[in-house]
Amino acid sequence: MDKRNHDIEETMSQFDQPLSDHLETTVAQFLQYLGNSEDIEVARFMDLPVPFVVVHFQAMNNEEMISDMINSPMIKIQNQQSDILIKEPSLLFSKIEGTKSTPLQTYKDAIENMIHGNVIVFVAGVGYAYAISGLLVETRNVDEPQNQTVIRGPKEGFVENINVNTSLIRRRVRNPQLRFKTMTVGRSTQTEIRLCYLEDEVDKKVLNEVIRRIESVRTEEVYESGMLEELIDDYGRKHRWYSPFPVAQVVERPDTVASEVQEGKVAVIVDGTPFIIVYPMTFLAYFQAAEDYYQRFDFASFIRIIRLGAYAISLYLPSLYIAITTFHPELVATDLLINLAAQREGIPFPAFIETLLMEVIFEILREGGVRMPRTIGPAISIVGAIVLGDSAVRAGLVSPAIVIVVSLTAISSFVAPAYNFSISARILRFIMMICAATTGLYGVMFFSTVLLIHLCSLESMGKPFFSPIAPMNFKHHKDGFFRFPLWVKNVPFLRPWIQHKAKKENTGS
Amino acid sequence: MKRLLFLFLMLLSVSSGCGDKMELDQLAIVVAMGVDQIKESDDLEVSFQVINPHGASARVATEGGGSEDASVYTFTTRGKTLVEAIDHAKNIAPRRLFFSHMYYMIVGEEFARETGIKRIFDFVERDEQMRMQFLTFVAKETTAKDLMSVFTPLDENPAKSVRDRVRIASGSLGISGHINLADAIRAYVREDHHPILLGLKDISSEGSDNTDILKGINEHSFSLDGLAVFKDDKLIDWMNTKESQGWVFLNNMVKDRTIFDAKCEGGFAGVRIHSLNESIEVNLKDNKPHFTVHLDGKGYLLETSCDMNISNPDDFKKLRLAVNNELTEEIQLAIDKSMDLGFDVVGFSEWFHNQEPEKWKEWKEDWFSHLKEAEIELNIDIDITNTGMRYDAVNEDE
Repeated sequence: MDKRNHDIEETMSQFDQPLSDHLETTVAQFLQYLGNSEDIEVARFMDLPVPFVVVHFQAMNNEEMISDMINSPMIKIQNQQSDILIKEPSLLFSKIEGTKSTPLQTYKDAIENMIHGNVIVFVAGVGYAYAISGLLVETRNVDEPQNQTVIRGPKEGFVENINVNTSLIRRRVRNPQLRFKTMTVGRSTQTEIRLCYLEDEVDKKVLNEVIRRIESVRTEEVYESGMLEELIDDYGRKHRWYSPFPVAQVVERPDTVASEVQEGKVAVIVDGTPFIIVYPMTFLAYFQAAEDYYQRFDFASFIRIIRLGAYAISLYLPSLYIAITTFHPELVATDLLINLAAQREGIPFPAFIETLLMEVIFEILREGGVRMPRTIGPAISIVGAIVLGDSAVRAGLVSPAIVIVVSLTAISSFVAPAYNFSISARILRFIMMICAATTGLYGVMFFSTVLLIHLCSLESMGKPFFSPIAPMNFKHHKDGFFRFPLWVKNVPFLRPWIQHKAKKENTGS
Repeated sequence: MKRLLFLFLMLLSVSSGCGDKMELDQLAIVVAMGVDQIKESDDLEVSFQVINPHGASARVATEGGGSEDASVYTFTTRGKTLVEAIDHAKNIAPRRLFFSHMYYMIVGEEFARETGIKRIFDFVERDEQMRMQFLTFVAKETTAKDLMSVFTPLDENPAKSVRDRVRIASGSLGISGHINLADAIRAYVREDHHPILLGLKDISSEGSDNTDILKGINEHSFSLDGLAVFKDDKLIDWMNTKESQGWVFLNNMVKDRTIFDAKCEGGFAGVRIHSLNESIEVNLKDNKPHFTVHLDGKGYLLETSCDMNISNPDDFKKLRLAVNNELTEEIQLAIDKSMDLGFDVVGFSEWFHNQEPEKWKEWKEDWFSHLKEAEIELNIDIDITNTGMRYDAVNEDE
């Protein structure tokens, strides 16, 4: 791996040579460096007063735009002002309006620009080439986000193109303090990364930490923000590598990123993916959805409590069932216990195996549902419903109560607005079940304590992960378990009596 | 090395587990227990009523339904101690007996009179599964075993039926809570009280044919019947219904009750009384205890066959008096019973202990001789606030 890295840098340094004056040799040399790859489009215009050659990757740039923005105006201007241009060919581009061009001195620069999607124009007798940007092929349209949908709220979602994403954020935060910082990661993929933050709001420590970690990444390839997230995670820290909890927020919605940036967080946009990661993250923020702020505060708070409850159910319910029925049957109401016992009659497995079996079946079904081609998707739900709900019970494999437990657990695990976080419950559920099956409620409590201690020790970019709770901060509880009304935050503007007071003072003075 | 050790410890914790585990289908849920003394022998006869989940569960999803199965299984074992009897039960029931969900315990009259319920207290207090909150009865004029083999109508689960009779219907005594074993133990341990338990009586008609299920349902049952009076841990006597009613009033265990037969001119009145508040005031007069029983509350008229015009305040007062007289009579009966039996059944001692602690220390050794001389004043005041949807009784000449 290291050797390969070294090779790539070495190859690139070979290209670090100045471009020559002679047009034909330069182009030939350039193409040779790129191995005459077959997707390179070369357009030669040799019969003009100042001959030039346009080179670009076929699929990356829009042919029509190239001919409109470069070829036609170049030919036109040469016909009009050929005398001046023959004398001074370097003026060629300054005569064309509306095109952004950068002069390039070396082959290396030219190659780097070209692989980033720029069009390279070699002009005879100048001694350098021009890189023309902004002519990329159109990507997918801005569409409704697939995963983070809302009932009320903007229906725009990020796309794969980093520039479109940048503009989506910029359009929402019309603040001169909004900054974007571009970086590149991945020696082979040269993936563009843009940090987005508000200069006067951002926590400088967090920002510097993010920059430092991204800079220190040594990797060949980054295709998705998930890869970057893993690479810049806290894994150096003790006890972090086995933690099931992610410490980055993954966002698909420009409005969410805008509000997070407004709060002083740092958004990391990775080219090629509609998922943007935001640092730092806290535990409670995983239970906040974009919609919370577009709906009434009382309802939003209620839903937030439901989400926390659902997360607890998806984490605890199967283990509580195991622990209570096998270790503490005295805790169940008598009539319920009799019904549960009646259901268990003739079931060959112990409760733990029974639950484990159903949980594993469910995980398989869920994974099958994700990978299934759309057209045969419904088949999964039919098979799943029959297998889980009915046949297993009829065949005497599991008791009906288990089906309820597993279904409730499954539904609860879909409630969390952050998918990456609800996965943690999916893994921990099984460990919790083992604890419950070995030592009952004592084991469940023990493992919960371990989890709590672990959560308190986590950090997201140097900020405590369990923040408003573990370092107790009452101010932040305004948007923690409950969402307080917006006018609690913005007191002076929305409270009419304060406005009155201000007016009086104005008129009095 | 450190990691290996850690892994080893983790494995230890996992492999050592499951020791206390029991699956639900390995449990025999005991809902009732009966204890009898076998005559002319040291042996105890212990009956267990165990739930048969298949029959007891209201809706079992499995096909070929188990609704034909009996909901409970009752069996009897013998032993010198309760523990021995329970141990013998293991040979009969193929499952582990589980006592945490017990509804009630019945003690046979013979056992209560001769052996004493102290033995039960000792066992139950020591056992970690038993809850003290189960109801405890004395089988009146019969054995616990006989009562437990009675099939109950309406409820599949006989034990639940008994519990609900006490809790929901609260018998005819109007006890708001119930008397459970913990209450009895508490009363037994206190120096100023004696335990009291509820009586349960077989009301099956003689010679009923058990094989005919319908007949069995209609003719075979049991009902709550009076209170069993204990001195220390031995059953001494029974209180009849009226005496028992007086007793529960004096012990402030009634929240609401219906008086069915308040006697008045020309008939009876049924009154529901509620918001009852009882207290006993203790005074010393001439070095004799003087008790004033205050009982006030509200009532509303349910039914009347009296010759009175209720809209007339004078007649209304008469009705009120009739109710108060009825209550006074009940309470007086309970006090008389206590005097007849020769010890403080009612528990005046507790009030005396609380209000005259100095004197109590002096008198507690021969408390009853002082109680005998005591003057007991009954001050009953039930206010009838509501006559229902109409005033007068329905009369022909109206």
